[in-house]
Amino acid sequence: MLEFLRWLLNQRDFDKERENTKDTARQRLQLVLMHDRLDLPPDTMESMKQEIYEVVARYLVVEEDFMEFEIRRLDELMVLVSNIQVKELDRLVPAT
Amino acid sequence: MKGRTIVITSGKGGVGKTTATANIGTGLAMRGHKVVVIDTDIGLRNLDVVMGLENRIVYDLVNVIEGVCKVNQAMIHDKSGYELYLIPAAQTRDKNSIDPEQLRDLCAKLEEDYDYVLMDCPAGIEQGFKNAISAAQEAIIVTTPEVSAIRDADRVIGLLEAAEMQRPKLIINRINPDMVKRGDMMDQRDVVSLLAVEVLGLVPADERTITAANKGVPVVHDKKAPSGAAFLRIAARVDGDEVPLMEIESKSGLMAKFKGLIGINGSAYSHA
Repeated sequence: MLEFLRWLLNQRDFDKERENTKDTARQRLQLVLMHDRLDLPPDTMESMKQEIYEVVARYLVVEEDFMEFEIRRLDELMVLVSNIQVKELDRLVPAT
Repeated sequence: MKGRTIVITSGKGGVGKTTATANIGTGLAMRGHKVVVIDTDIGLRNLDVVMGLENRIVYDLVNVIEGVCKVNQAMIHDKSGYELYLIPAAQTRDKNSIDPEQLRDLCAKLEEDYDYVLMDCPAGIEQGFKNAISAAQEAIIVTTPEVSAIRDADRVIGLLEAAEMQRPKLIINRINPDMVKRGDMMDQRDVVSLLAVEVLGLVPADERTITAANKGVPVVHDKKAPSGAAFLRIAARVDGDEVPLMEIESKSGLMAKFKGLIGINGSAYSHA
């Protein structure tokens, strides 16, 4: 009987600590489905990245080797996030 | 008479397409309709064994399409005596034995004499799937509350939209209410938020589905089976009845818990 009670208590403690795996499943799926639905081939993504970089570089002096470019989930939205490093704060506009 | 041709599909295999086809077909026939169920999974036929008609097969779907026999020669009358007929798949041919146009012609012909033509679609999104969806006007998607099944269902929904099929409806199969309660299984709301489709029905995980398949008698014939009751409700909804969706819950009364502890109840789930 004591064994049984201990087992019962253990069950409860265990339950408190653990996460709800269904939330993990739902969050993972949200991201996966987003990518599946987008269906953008990697080379299209790459050329879009390149073009956006070129546009920004026309107006700002930017680091050539650093650019983040990805599609992410922001709550219910799908967003394109890009980070481009701006260099030379004293001279933001590239010399023409 | 102008019947409706409905394809039952899923993307992923093993989620219960064949079981759903057999049970919805039987359910519609029990409601007094004339129903044909077609197994379009050529090379991997299964609807015949689930319905317990495997010993009666003479001709199959490919024979019909190739004109080897007449349509009614390949139609097997169900054991129940209802107006329910099976056209089995060919077992020794491949999926390219038929093309979409031939299947569409066959279904159009059947629609003249039958209220419902249900097609059990093969898993995957290749030729067999393309054949089946092009012959249907409506689609039912079967999924389970698991990541892989839901992902594949989403892919299939996209393909159905591209094929300009009207918005498919969803069956969530094998819901385990205890796991849902613990937060370890996605529930109806979670699945709908991901797939954004209308839910046609919720089917609890139920051992009686398996024992029914063992016997070759669709579970809708089993009055005690929660899954059978769920499929009957689905058949009613397909037929246009407004049957409210019910939450699937485990019976959590003291007696059920006690029985559960000492291992009496196989599956004490209420149905939806």
